[in-house]
Amino acid sequence: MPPAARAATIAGMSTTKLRVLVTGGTSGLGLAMASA
Amino acid sequence: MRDESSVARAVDQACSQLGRIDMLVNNAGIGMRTVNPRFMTHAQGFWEVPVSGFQAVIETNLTGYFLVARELTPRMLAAGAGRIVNISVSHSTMHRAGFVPYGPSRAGSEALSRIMAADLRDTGVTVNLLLLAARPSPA
Repeated sequence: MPPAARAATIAGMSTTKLRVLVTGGTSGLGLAMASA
Repeated sequence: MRDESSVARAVDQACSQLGRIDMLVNNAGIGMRTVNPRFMTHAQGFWEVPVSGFQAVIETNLTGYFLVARELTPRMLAAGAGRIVNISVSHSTMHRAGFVPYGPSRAGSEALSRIMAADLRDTGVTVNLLLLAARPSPA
């Protein structure tokens, strides 16, 4: 499960058409946007 | 992540591109390697940690979470809904010898998360904390 989808599940949200802002990544810095 | 104006611009841009943000995952962070490249085999005492390294980890792992949430939360409140998930680590890592400043930075993010959740009670915006821990792979 992609990290954004996993986090959405933890927060009790449906992952359909969810707009998620995820900070960090492999570099540890910066902003990334993902649609879970 | 450490700069207020930079975070504000990034959140503005994200909201413009996506229309709105339903959920924030505060995940960005830097680790022990930034102050002690051999931290897993050669623990160093807190008194040996460079001040600049301590500040960089705290500013990224704790202040960064605060800055992004601070910028995004008013928009979620205006929308009447939102989810914030803050990524942290297990308590054993938070308190491990030789883990200054990483441990305290994650302990701070736990306290921050609990207070954020209390402040946002009954608003439609929730805060969850995810404490990650390593575990053996299934056989």
